[in-house]
Amino acid sequence: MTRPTDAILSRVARLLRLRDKPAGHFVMRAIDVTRAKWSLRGYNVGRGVSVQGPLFLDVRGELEVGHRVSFVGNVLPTGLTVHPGASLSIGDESVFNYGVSVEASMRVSIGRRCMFGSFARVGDRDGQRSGPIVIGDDVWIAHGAIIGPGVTIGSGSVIAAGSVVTKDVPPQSMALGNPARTMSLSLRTRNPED
Amino acid sequence: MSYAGMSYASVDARSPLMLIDLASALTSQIALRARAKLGERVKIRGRIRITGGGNVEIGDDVELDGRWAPIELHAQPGGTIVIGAGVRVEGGVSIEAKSRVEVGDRTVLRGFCKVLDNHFHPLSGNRHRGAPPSNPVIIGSDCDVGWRALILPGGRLGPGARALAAVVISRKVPPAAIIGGSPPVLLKSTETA
Amino acid sequence: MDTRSVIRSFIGETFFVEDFADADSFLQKGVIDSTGMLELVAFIEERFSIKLDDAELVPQNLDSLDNICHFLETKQKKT
Repeated sequence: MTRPTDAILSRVARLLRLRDKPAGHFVMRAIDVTRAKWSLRGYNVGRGVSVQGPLFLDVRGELEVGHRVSFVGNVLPTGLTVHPGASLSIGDESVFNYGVSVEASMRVSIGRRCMFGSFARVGDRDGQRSGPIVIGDDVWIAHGAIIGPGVTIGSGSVIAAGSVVTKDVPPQSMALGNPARTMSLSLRTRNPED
Repeated sequence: MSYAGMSYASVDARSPLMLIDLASALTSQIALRARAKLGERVKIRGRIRITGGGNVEIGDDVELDGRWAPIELHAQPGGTIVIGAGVRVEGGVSIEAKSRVEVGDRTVLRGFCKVLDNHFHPLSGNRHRGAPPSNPVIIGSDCDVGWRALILPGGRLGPGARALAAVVISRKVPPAAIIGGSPPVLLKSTETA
Repeated sequence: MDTRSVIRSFIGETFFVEDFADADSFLQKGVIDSTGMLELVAFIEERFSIKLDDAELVPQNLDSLDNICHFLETKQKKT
């Protein structure tokens, strides 16, 4: 990179800092909601849904997205794939980080207020099995975790980062490892407020 | 505008989306200069997403290769990411710091690995109410963090340590040791190599 | 080596804790987190040739050297 180019880029960089101010966030949110209306046009979509980065949709079955669901993170697209005859439903206020992949060949049902970390994967068909996936309310699926076919995850549970879940997870539990085992949610380092 | 969702562009030079790639790469060049302290001869390639408002320091001769998949550097206010001299960061890598993440000199962070010093959400109750305490991640010099590995809060890699592909680490790894598998197993260091 | 010493030595080597009391909570002190717990469980299962049920993976059974030893004693009595 030549010195003059570097100088120009640095000057533009100083202007960019304006974007980090609070007013910028309000404008960005308005853009996100508008973008959602465009990306998800034609599907059964609730109010206040927002899409922050690119959303990759390959929907040839049924898609239902609840109120105030948000797709955040502008790094790699989150992809929703619904095969013909299949259905995917996403409960109110669930949040998807970037690079998440949800693929329904039969049925995937996601509860309310769930959180999907970056690169999480939910797929109800793999090389071995297929079966509907049911994810309860308030489930946190951390970065890179994989939820396999036929799995039911009870409400309130946490799927630790990088885990590969092949069996049901009871409510209020933590699933961890590959293949994941389930343990008590209390087996975690204590927060000071606990 | 980097905001218009450039990331889905392909790298195929014949594709009309190449213009979006170029715009995205250009924005990355600008963003990194605006939001990070850069050393000498830093190679910024492709798409680098630098967000969060915190402190990012990048040492001399560092290579950030976001051509294939974007690199994410996210330091929250009060948080610091320090990338040492000669570090190579491959595509898809994500570093998140609420307190402190250090990557030692000449370390390689391979594709899609992730380093974070905070889980950012409490395990139960209202998960949007605030983050749990941070636990800084310190990766020593000359380390090798494997493809899709995950270094969680409290992870420490001594100099020369190697984290194998897809391993999940939340603890200390001694210098020159190799750690891999699920659950992670420490392979005694280079004596057996 | 008896059970207590075996486990104490594993924890010391794996998690680099020099000093901990038999009754110290690993989770409270931040010595072992959830991922560490999984390693501990895998070690116990392999070393003592037993299988732990997912339902047995609770702090009461795992969160201190005392708890682990007591849990293993009870479990081995049952078999």
